[in-house]
Amino acid sequence: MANSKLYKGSLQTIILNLLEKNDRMYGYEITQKVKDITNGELKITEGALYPALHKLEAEGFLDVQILKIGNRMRKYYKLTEQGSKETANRLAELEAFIKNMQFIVNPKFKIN
Amino acid sequence: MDRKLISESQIENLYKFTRDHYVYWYDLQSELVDHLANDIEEIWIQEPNLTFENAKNKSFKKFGVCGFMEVIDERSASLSKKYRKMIWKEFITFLTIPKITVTISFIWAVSFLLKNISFNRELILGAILLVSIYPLYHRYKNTKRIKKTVLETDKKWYFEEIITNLGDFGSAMQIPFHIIYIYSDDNFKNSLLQDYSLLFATGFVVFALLVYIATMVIPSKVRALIAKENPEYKIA
Repeated sequence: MANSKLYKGSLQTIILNLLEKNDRMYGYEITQKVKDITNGELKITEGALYPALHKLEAEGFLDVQILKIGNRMRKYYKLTEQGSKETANRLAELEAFIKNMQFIVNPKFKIN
Repeated sequence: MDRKLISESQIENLYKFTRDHYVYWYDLQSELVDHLANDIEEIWIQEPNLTFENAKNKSFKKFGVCGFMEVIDERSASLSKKYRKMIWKEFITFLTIPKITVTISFIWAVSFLLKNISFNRELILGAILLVSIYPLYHRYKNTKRIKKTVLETDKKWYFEEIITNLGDFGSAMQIPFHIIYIYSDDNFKNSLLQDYSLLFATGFVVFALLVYIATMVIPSKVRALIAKENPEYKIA
């Protein structure tokens, strides 16, 4: 399993990016999607996922809708307009971070 | 083989399970019940012979040693923050055109009274007392309404509880009573209220506006928001 400490700071960005690509999603779907994309390497814990989603919702980045699906209620999250702008900003920050990390761990690394 | 799915009675069992683990609000319960149900169904793909109880406990363990507590605490903090942001957003409208004319008029009127009335200290004390008592009445009235809703629908909503307790403002509402105590001191000079009438008037109007927004404007907006998001939301 991946070192979760390294991913912790990027959890909100991961969620925002998934919602940008998938229109609307619910909590469990997000955990499964991340697991699928990373071939099980990254597992978002339940104790971290919901606080992150609720924080993003309170910031006004996510809209919420609860629907009855089968025999249970399901809470869907969707990006707001403000959330889409925030996603672009955070992805740019993350890319810059990755680039800098590459320079640090591999000083010979060059961008063509 | 058909995929094993959660039954209606097992969903009811999961709601009870969340309640037994200190999740009392239907909105948060529903989200956690759906998560547990999805996970149990996923566990059953790998271990179809596992009982519901064992699968439930296996899924619950993934929330860590504190169970749902972290989720509850963070939910409370997030909703309080959302409430604060809504209050602030509304407050700003009273500092911009056209509502700023109302704000300035009130400050001017209070300042005029403090400067020109001999019993200015009694006047401001009475006004602060009136404005401070209203949030207590708001809390009492809405707590009663929540209890009635729970009796009728068996559902409690987290955001409604936060606005009833005025979020983080609940404890801040005690500050005026300290001010009343200072003003009631015999050594407090009425001339101080006259000399700094504009400052006192501004403080009083800002406080009254915050109480008005938190107790009268935002609650109806929050209820509309809960109703928009939750099809099962009903108020008593």
